[in-house]
Amino acid sequence: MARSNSKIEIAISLDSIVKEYQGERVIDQVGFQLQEGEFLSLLGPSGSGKTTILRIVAGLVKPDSGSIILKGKNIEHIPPHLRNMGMVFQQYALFPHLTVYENVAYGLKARRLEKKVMKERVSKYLELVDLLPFAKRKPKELSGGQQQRVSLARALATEPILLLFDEPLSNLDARLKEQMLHEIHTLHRTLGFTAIYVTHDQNEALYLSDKIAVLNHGKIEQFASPEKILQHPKTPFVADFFGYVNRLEDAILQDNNTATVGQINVPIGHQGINSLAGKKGQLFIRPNAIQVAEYQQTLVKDKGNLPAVVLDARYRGGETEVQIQLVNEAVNLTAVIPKMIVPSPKQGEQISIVFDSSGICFFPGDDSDE
Amino acid sequence: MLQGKWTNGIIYFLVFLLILFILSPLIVILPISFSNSDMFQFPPDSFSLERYQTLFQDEQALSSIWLSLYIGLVSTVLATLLGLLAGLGVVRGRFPFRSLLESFFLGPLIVPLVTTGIGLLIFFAPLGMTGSSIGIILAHSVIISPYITRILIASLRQFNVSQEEAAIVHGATPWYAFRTIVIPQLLPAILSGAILAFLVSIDEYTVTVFLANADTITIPIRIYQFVSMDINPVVTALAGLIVICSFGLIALLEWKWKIHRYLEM
Amino acid sequence: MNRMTRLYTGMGFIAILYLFCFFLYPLLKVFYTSLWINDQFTFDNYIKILTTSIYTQVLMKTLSVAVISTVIALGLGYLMAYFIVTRRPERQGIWLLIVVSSMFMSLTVRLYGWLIILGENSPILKALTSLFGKIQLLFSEKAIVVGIVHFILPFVTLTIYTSLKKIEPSLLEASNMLGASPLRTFWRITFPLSLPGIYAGGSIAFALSASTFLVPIMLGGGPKNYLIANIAYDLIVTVGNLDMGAALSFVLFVMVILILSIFNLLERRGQHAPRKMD
Repeated sequence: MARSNSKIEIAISLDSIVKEYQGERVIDQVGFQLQEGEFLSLLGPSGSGKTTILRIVAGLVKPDSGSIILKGKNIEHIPPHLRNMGMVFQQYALFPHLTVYENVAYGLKARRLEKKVMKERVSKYLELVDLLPFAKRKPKELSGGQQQRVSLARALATEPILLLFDEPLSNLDARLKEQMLHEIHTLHRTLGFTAIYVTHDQNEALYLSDKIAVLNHGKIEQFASPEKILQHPKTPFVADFFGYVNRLEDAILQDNNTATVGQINVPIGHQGINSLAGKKGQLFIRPNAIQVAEYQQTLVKDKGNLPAVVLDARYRGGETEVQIQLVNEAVNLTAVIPKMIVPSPKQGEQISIVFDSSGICFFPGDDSDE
Repeated sequence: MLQGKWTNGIIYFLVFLLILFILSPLIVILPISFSNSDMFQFPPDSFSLERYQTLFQDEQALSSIWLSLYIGLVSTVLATLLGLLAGLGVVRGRFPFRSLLESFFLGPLIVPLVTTGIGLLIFFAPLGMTGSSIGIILAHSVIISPYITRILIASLRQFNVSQEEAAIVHGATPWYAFRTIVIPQLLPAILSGAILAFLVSIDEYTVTVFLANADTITIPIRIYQFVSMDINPVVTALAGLIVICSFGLIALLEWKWKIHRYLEM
Repeated sequence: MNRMTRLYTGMGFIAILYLFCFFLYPLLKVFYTSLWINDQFTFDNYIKILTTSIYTQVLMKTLSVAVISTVIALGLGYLMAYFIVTRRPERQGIWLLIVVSSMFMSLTVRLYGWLIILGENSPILKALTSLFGKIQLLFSEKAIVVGIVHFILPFVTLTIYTSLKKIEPSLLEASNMLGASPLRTFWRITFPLSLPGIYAGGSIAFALSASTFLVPIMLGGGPKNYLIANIAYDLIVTVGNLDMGAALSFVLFVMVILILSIFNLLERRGQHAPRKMD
């Protein structure tokens, strides 16, 4: 499972996978390639087909068409138990009648491994997830987080070609989630396994992944690295999913660097495909791309300051989220100031804002041409 | 809930009468079996183990006991397999009209035993299978299977399906997963269902009487004969034995697995 | 289809096949036999059953015995179930053991016990006789009802117990907190919510009592108290009139299914109907 450093190998590639349930297409022409040792997240809202893709890869669901190549081998007709994968389930799916040790050893036993090898292997992975002292307990006697770690050890123990995660953290409370997130990341760094991780939480995906596939209605909207997706969302859906909270309709693209909404010029950092000057479309703006001059002194001197009025302000973590309205244009925006402002901005307070182009993108409307 | 000294008192008294009613046949039979007074005499006027001694020398009674045990064991094995297949099929298989199928599997419980008995008689008679223990075994396997099926359905509905997927993804064949994950967890349900089914088989009268002849007289038919036709006091010991054994088995099931949870109709 | 699902579907098919051979096919055979008299297809047997007074009388008698037994068992079973469910949880086990063990205790043996209790020599009957004058319980319809009630009571009790157990305790607390008296809480909350259990218990009780075979022959004292099942047996085994016996047993089957469907309908309607709580 060590990360190969000599040449890049494709661990798994999916090509034009299609799956229909009762006439409805739940997976629509999905394809991607994943390199050895990479961590991929399938990210999307519920019903986007992410879990179905995972189950197709595992062999638990048969696709209607398309191919899956695992390490250069077409595995379409290989039953799940021969695919050599590991899987961590949402509800843990531990075997309640077996001890922690027996749970982790299950896959090895099914493969008829020698007792001695099995014992070493189980101990190694129980040690890795810090559960060796609990080997003789039954799953019921463990906490939720511990159970999920047993599930992780069970999936790792067979040293699979591919590790699959089906929303493994959605049953844990916020604190445990953080811990497990860190643990999975550390394990990935030390063991270098290839993984596909299903989640609806963009933060989990961003934290863990080398690649993210954003899914919507059974289609991949974008497949890219976290940085790329954050900076250059390919579609309005992706932008929306990754925190481009402000959406302004009826924007007109002027050139590669600016768009106008009514009387205001907004600098843009990125534009969707088919963007031509003069085209109508939508502007997506991240809250932290709206800088509030009064509270971020360094920016005061900037040229394009726009007057605005505070509508409301709330704290979120260590940041201040401000609802504002532009003075010259009937536009409401959400802005984030990356520190706590005490006392918080008052309603009606006059401020001025500056747009930061790196968090703003333009998408042309569909209806204007064609 | 309902309160007040008077209401409470009345409820306690009524429940006492009710329990007395439920237990009365046993309260009567056990003492009589441990005496040698008249077999219809209660309370008995003596204590003796004589009846039990004669029971184990009475060839008619003994042959019935052996026959019933044999039929009970074999038909329970068959019914357990049948109940397992039916329960797994209806809960986990893919069938249209699932609830209709469930009613079908539990049907032998609902259809009057006389009707089933006559049907099997008409079916078996031309095949020369009446009067044989094979015919009775097949009949019993059908009519006792719903007890097992129902318990299995109830416990399968609580079974977490992703366990099987976990087993298969980690290298188990479906059959291996079934053996190592599903069966061990169903074992309490299978065992308790089997024991109840066995008790029902041991006591089955209505269907059996259609299929039995002089060579295949099971315990309940023998008891009926000894009580109503050729009176034989050894029946008191036979009845006492059955009471003690079945109560022991049921107490074990209730104490170990809370069997009442699965018996809702 | 999932491989596990395929395994289970296959298993289900084996079960269907087995029950088809040894359960459904024999039942169809009963119906078929009842329609063929002297190589002729005819409904004569059924017409005879519905028009001849011997048969209509037995039908009515069976129906009335079954209804009376069911009603009594429902009343007693409700009392018992309510009593058990109001005990402390750890104490309920012992009571349930009594119920379950009487459910699976040999019926033949229990009826033998009743034969003694209801017989002339029993102290109970002597006590009753000295109080009310001479009464004959054994070998009467009353004895049959006693036997049937004893047989079906545990089934009814357990079913009602289960439905009472499902009632959210918070509902009762809410009702009490809103000022309802315990009696009012019972009639307004507990009882309506336990109706599904009553319907389910009633249907199993009726099915078992209408088709009872052993109780009349052991406690009924001869053909005068025979019910449908016994007559059908007699017609076939003693008289040798196979097609008539088959027809009679099939009528019993239809009767049971009919009543069960009615109860089932009641149960379902009860589950969907909005409850008035003024």
